[in-house]
Amino acid sequence: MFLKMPSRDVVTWTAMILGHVKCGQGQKALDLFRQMREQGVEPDSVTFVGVLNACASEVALQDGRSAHEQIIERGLDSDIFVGSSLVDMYVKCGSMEDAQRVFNKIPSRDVVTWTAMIFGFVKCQQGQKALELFQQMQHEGVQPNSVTFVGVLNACASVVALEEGRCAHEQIIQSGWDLDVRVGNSLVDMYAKCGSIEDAWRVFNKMPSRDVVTWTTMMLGHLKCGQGQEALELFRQMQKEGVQPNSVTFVGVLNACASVAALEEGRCAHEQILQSEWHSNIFVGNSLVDMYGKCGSMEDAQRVFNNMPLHDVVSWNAILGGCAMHGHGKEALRHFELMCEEGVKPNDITFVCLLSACGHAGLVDEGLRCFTSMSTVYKISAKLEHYTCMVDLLGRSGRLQEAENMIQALPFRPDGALWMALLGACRIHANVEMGERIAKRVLELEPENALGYVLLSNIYATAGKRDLCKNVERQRKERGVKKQLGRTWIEVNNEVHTFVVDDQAHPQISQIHAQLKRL
Amino acid sequence: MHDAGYVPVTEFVLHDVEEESKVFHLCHHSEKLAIAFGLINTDPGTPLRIMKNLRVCEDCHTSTKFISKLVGRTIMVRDANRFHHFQDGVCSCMDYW
Repeated sequence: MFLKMPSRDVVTWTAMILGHVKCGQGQKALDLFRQMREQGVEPDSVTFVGVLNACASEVALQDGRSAHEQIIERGLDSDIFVGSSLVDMYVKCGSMEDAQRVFNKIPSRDVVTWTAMIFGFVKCQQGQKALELFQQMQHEGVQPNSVTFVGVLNACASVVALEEGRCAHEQIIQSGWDLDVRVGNSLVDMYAKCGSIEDAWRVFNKMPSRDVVTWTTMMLGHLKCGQGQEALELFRQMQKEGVQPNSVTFVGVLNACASVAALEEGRCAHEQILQSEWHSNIFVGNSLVDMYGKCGSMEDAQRVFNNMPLHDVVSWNAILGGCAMHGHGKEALRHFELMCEEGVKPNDITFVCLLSACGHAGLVDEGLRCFTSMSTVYKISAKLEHYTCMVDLLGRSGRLQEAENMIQALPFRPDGALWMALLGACRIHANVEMGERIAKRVLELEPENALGYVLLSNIYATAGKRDLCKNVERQRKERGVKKQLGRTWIEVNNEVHTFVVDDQAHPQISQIHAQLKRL
Repeated sequence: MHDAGYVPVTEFVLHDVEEESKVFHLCHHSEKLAIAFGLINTDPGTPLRIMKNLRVCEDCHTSTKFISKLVGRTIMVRDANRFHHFQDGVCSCMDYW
């Protein structure tokens, strides 16, 4: 009909543009706007609102800027709708400076515009600015809505601002938004990311309805606190309640399995994934490779990897990380070659995996070669993690002096972990002289870490210096540093059992001791 | 295990106690408890999968090698650093860990 119309005015053009925007066809809307201008039809403020929305959805910053210029030429920038759309466009195109400039000039700003700005800052990882803006908004007497609160809670989570989060929570309860499932999910997320899992549970339990996001957020919260078992338990409960997992849930479950080495649970999740719509999702695939590697089955990791339709750098890092953990140095080097042949660019993590694989397999020369090529060929500058791998690689193989020289020539300040790697090597090679020297550094940098004391006392023990050994132990105890308790997990019949040193609590403990005696 | 040539590695037991009770301490390391538990509760021949939060100690490493041979099982241990596949008295790390 539009095409058949003999004369088209600004209203009909604008209606068409808005129609396309509404159908999610931003590019078509922009093409129409260009045609309209070519035919000399003068746009009005409503046309520009449509065009800006199209630019926002297409992330077309250039088109957006040119529209902004035309708006200024016509003096339409004082229009509140145009102003809000401009802010929204700049936010969605990721240009917060432009957004802020326009925002400051809008005479009366409504809650939608404020909220758009808050989300913009959160998206650009400027959580602090988002929180400042929220303060300012309340000063100006604008009432936040549920979307504003979601943005504010995301900001609190991103900068770990527990106090601000609690304040927002109180306001949310007062305004009744705590019954909204999206607000509830954001509250759970905020508390979990701020490390207060108890508060997250309190919100979770009070929520009138929970969706897949609620469950997944809670699971990820436990994972972040290193509680893989709890995360798996939540996954089981979620399924009992008939909630369908999504791709993020699956990634979370697989990470939980990897963290506690629960291979059988991981296999069950894999079967579920194969039956779901996520079977060829790259994030899920990468997590599967990672899970199988960390649960000890490199065969499965390799099979999943080979069946993936596409590999990105994370997929390659997952398989290389698996090789590293299993001490498959040669395999790792071969994979790295294949990766480059496939045209995937390695990143810094790739080299951490590669160097650690060489280290665990005793491939010293290969490791040194990789380390050199990292900066010369791949233009990746070495970070602390890479140096830690190199010190471990050299030290383990007995080249202690080279390792120490490497630390001393470091372009930045070494951390405790780096010295610790060298101290570990001194222990393996029972080098008392260097061990004492390095331990001094370690204990200066990390006086609270029991590992430094343990390694030094082990060095003395190997050298038969019992008195010095006891001294170190005494020093550790005087400083109130506790050794980490030895803990072991074993998966039997799909259930993970935990044991600690001297465990008396296990129901089968007498049979276990009888079995050990027999051996 | 002793008959097969296993000698406990007691030099890292730091308590000031008699040799006999050092061996007793070593027997209580969590990975040994977990392995014994796994042996009791799984069918003969089933591989055991174990995860540990610290680096596996010398004595546990040595005794796990012996156990894998004695009972004819694959024992896989993930410690804080890496995996160890124990099979027929040998570990995949070739004692380099």
